[in-house]
Amino acid sequence: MWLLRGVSLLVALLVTLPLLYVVGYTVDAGWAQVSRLVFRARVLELTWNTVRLTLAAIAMCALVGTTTAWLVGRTALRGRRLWHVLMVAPLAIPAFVNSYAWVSLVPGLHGFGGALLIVTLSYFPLVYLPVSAMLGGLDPALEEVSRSLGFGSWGTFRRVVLPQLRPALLGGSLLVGLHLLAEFGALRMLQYPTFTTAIYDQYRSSFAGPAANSLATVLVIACLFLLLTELRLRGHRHLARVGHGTARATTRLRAGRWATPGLVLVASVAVLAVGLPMAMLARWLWVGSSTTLELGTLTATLTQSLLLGLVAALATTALALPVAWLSVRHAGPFATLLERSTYVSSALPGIVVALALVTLTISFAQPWYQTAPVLVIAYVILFMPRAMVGLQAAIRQVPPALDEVASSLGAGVVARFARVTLPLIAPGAGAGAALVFLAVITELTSTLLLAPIGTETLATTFWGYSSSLAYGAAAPYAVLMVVLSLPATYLLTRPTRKGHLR
Amino acid sequence: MTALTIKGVCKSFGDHPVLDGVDLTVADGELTAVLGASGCGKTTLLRLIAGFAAPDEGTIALGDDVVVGDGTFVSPQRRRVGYVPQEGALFPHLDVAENIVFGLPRSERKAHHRVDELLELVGLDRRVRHRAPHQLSGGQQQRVALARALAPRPTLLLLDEPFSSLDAALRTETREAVVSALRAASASALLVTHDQGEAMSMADRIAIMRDGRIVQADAPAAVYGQPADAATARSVGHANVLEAQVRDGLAHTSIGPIPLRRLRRDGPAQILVRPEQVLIVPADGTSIQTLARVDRVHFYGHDSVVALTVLATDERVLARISGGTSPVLGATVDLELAGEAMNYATEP
Ligand SMILES: Nc1ncnc2c1ncn2[C@@H]1O[C@H](COP(=O)(O)OP(=O)(O)O)[C@@H](O)[C@H]1O
Ligand SMILES: [Mg+2]
Repeated sequence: MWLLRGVSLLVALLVTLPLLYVVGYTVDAGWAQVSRLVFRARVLELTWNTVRLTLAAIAMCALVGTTTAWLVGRTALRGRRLWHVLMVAPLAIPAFVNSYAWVSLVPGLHGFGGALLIVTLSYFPLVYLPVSAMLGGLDPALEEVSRSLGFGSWGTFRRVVLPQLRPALLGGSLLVGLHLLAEFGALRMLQYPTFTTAIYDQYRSSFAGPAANSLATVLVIACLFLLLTELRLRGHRHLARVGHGTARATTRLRAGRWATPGLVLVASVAVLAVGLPMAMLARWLWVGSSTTLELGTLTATLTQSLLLGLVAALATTALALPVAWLSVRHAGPFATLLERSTYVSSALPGIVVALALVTLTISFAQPWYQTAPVLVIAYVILFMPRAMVGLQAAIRQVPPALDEVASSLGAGVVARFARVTLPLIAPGAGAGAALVFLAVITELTSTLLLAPIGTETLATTFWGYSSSLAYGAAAPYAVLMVVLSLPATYLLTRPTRKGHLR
Repeated sequence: MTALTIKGVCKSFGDHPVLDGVDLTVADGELTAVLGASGCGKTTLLRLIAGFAAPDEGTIALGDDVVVGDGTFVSPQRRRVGYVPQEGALFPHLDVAENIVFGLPRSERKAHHRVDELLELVGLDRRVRHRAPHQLSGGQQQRVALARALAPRPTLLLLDEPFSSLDAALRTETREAVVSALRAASASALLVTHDQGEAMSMADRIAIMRDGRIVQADAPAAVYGQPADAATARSVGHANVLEAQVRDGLAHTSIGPIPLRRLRRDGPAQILVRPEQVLIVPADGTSIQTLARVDRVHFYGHDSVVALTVLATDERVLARISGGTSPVLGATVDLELAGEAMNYATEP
C-alpha cells in the first residue's frame, strides 16, 4: 500500500515536472522581468491572435460538432453509420497535414480566416464525439414528457436536450481550446502567429532564454484558465438518469423537408474535412512517387516512429497503472490529487513541456539532453490521460472480491497481478496504449525540440519537407501517419458505454 | 480439536463499532452458521478470519496456529481458508475448470487435477467444465465457487450468504448440494446468513450475532428450544412473550398455566412459548375457557400461523396450526398451552 502510494507520487511528480518548472521559473525570474517580457506590443498581438482564434474555433467546433451530431444521431439520415465514421475521421488526419493539403491547393490561405477554417475542420470531431455519445444515451422518455407538456421539437431540444448535452459540449470545447493553445504545425504553415509558434521561433533564435520561458508562462496560465472555467461551468449538476430499468433506444425524427439540407450539410463537412485532404494527399503522392521517393529513408523513419510509439505506449501505460489503481481502489483526497495532476500536466502544450525538459536536462542532467529517454518522458507527460482513462475503466470492472478470493486460494501479490488483474485489465490497458501510440506517431512540436540528433520521425520528416515546400516528398509520410491513425480512430466510432469519451 | 477459535475480536469503521468482542469456536468437521440481521457485521467477521482486514483487538486461531493477534498477522494467502463470497466471484476470464484449479500448484493446474472429482462433489455435470462463468446459472456459479474453494483442501471454509441471490427452489437444492459436499470433504465450515431457515436446516451449530457479539451458540434445537433471551428467540422463529405469575414452578398466564423448563422463584415474569405450543380448541364450554378472537391467518402451505387477541387481557398471541384447517377471521376460539415454557432471568 505504501509502496503503491510512493510510486504513484513519483509518477505524479514526474508528469508535473514541466508545470513545476514553469511556476519555478516565473517565481525565480520575478514578476518584474516576466512582465517586462510579456507586456510588449508583439506579445499583445500574439495574445489577441491566440484568444480570438481560440474563442472562434471553440464556437465553430461547438456549432459544427453539435449540428452534425444531431443530424447523424437524431434524424433519419440515410447511411448514418458511414456519416458517423466520416464525422470522426478528421481525427485521423493531423491538423498540420490538413493545413498542408489545403495550403498546397490554395496557396493564399493565410491569416485568421484560413486558420479558423482549418482548425474547425480538424477539431470539430472533439465536440461531435462526446455530443453524439450523449445524444445516444439520453432517455427518450424525457423528450416524450416534454412533448406531452406541449413543447415542439425546437422547444424540446432547447429546454430538454441541450441542458443535458452541457457536460459533453463543455468537455469537447475544453479539448478544442487546449488543442488550439498547443497547435503549432498547422498555424505555422498558415503563417498565423500565436503563442505556441512564437515560443518556437524564440527557441530557434535564442534557445530556452527568458523570452521563450515568459511566453510559456502566459500560455500555461491560459491553459489553467480554460481548465478552471470548464470545471466551474460544469458545476455539480446531476445529470444521471433517475429511475430504474434500462433506457430505451432513442427514436429518430423523420427529417421531412429538412432531409435534403441536412444531408447536404453533413456531406459538405465530410468533403471539406476528409475528402479534400485525402484527394490532395493522393495527388501529391502520385506526383512525389514519380520523382523523389526514397524507400530507404521512408522505412528507416517509419521504424523510428513505430519504435518510439511502442516504447512510449508501454512506458505511459506502466506508469499510469499505479496511479489508476490507487484512484479506483483506494479513492481519497490523496489519490484524486495525484490523478488530477496527471491531467493538468497533459493539458500543457507540447512546446511548453519540451521547453521545460530542455532546460531541466541542460541544467541538471546534461548527458541526457536530446536523448530518446527524455523524448519518451515528454510523451508520457503529454499523453498519460489517454492511458489513464482506459486503465481506470478496466480496473473499475474488476471486483475487489476477485483479488480477495485469489489471495485466499494462496496467490501472493505478484501471482494475483499476473493471473487475475492483468488478464482482466489487458483490453482496457491495450486500448489506452494504442491511443498513446497513435498520439506519438503524429506528435510534432516536442519531437522537433527533443529528438536526438539524427532521429527523424514521420512527423518531423514530413514537417521538414513541407516547410521547404517539397509537397511531393512530404506526401508519403503524411499518408503513413493517416493510415497508422485509422485503427484508433475507428475504435472511437464504436459506441461507448455511458457515453464517456474523454 | 477446534478448526477455528475466535477470542474477543473487535472491529470499528471510523467511530462506528461493528464487532464488539466476538467469541466463537468451530469444531473440526462441523458446520457452524452465524445468524444475524443484515448489516450486523457478518461479512466483516468472515473477512477478518480470511485475513482481508485486521481486527482492532482480539485473536483468531486456525487449528492451533494463531493467525492474527498477539502481534502476528498471517497474510490471506498463507492462511489457507476457503472463501466463498456472496456473489460467487468467479474469475470471468477463466472457464469452470480453470476456476476450480486456480488455487492448486502449477503442475496440478496444468493436469486439471481433481476437476471431475470436485464437479461431482458439488453436484455439477462434467459437461460444464469448459463453460465460461457467464454461461452458468446462479446456482451453478455458487457450486463452482464452492468447488474452487474446496480444491486446495482448506482446513476451514467460509461461506458468505451463499444462497441469498438464488430463487427459492434453487436455494433448497443448492443448499443440499453444499451440505453434502462439505460432509463428503469432511471440511469444517463457517456460514453466515440472515436467513433463519437456512441456518436451522443446514448447520450443526448456530451462533446468534447481535450488537457486535455472539449472544448464543448452540445446536439448532437448543437455540430454538432454549433461547438466551426474547430477541434470540424471535430471531430463530415466531415466539410469544407472555406476562406471567410464577407459583410453585408453574407460570400462570392469561391463557392458563404452563410448567417452566427452568425453575425460578415466585413472582411476576416474562415467559416464552412457541406458536406450536398454543393450541386452538373449539369453544365448547366444558373446560376452563380462554377466549380469543382470530385477527389474521398467515398461510404458509404446510402450516398456518394464526394471530389472535386474548379477549380478557387484550394480549396478542400467535398459534401454529397444521395445513388444512383454517379458522374463520373474527371467530372466537378457546386457547390452551402445551409443553414447557422458557423464562428469562434478566428480561426487562
Ligand atoms: N469497509 C468498510 N468501511 C466502512 N464501513 C463498513 C465497511 N465494511 C462494512 N462496513 C459497515 O459495517 C457494518 C457491517 O457490515 P457487514 O459486515 O457487511 O454486514 P453484514 O454482512 O452482516 O450484512 C455495516 O454497517 C457496514 O456499513
Ligand atoms: Mg454481508
